[in-house]
Amino acid sequence: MDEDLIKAAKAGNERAGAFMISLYGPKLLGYCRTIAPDLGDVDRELICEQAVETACRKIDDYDPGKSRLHAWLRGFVRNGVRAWRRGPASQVSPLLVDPGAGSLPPITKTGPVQSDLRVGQLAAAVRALPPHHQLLIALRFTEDLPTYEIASRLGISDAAVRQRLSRLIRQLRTQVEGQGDLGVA
Amino acid sequence: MTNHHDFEPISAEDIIAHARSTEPSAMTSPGSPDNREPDGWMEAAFATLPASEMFDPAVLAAVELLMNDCESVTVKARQRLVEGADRGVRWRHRLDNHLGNLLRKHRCARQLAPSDIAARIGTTAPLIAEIETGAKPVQSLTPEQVAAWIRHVSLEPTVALAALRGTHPSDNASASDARPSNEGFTCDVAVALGWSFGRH
Repeated sequence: MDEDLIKAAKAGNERAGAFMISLYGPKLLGYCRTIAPDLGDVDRELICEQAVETACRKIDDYDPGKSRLHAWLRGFVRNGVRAWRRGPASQVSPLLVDPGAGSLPPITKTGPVQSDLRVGQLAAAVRALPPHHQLLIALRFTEDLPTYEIASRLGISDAAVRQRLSRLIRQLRTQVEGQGDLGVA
Repeated sequence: MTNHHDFEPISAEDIIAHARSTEPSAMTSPGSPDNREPDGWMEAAFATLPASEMFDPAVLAAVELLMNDCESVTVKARQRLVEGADRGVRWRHRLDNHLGNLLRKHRCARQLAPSDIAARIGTTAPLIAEIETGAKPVQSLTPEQVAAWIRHVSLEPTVALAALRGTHPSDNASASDARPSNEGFTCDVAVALGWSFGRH
């Protein structure tokens, strides 16, 4: 199904848009509500509208070997919400925000020169975690789920999720700092 | 450092089960609206990293199993989303013969990075990426740089010049007629490519 959708979008098929929304519209809106429950319906719809437009523009960048189409599309919604939260002054065009290419603003809080090295170290540290810990990190930091949502989906307590995440974050920080003594804030 | 291979799971379902089994089920409550632990650096760092570079494929599969958000869509919302998607599809379709897009396709086919092109023609990788996506005009470079880029990715000059002129080569009777009608930049690029008003 995804393959047909991608082919249709790449071919410029006039029904590709409707096809995509039939498959993913409810899921993207639902996801947007989950990560941005404080926004109104109109704002969430606008974010999703921009997300699907950007995704269709960038459909050539989608790599099925790296993620499911649904996950890729969620990235555009997520970036839309992040841009929204940064405020009107920093609401860049979603065209410039590509979830797969790391095009969000560079990390500058502790020094842009060191950021690439630290980010690589962080990725390595996450990869070394047991899968069930990776899962928590993915849900919290990649999917942007609030801790109570993670707790609800896993059927465990919010306190347990917070506690585990806190421990994992501390562990990751220690590893990144330990490798480079870079003073992660 | 703990190595995750010591805990190698069988499947996404196993990972979820393992995450659940470490504590008995308990009642959950939403708590405060902003109950996340703020960690600016880490959040920004994760935002720059593609998930495929950080997580096991089985972990990503487990995430997909858990990301089952869905809500009913009003007619108005659906229409809005379809319009957005349609705009994106149309935009991309129009881009097919855009020079930046052609250069990008040829670069990718040759497995070159934007930085390879940038180093070759003496500019920056971000500018290359911006020109490819249409965020910046190709005129941000000199005609000589554009010509060098076209040659480096082995893009057919006829096709490149036609795209730069905003037409398709098939609009012309023959390749030799694909002379740049857009006097100025296109003409300069043609000259830099070794073309002289129709003569290759």
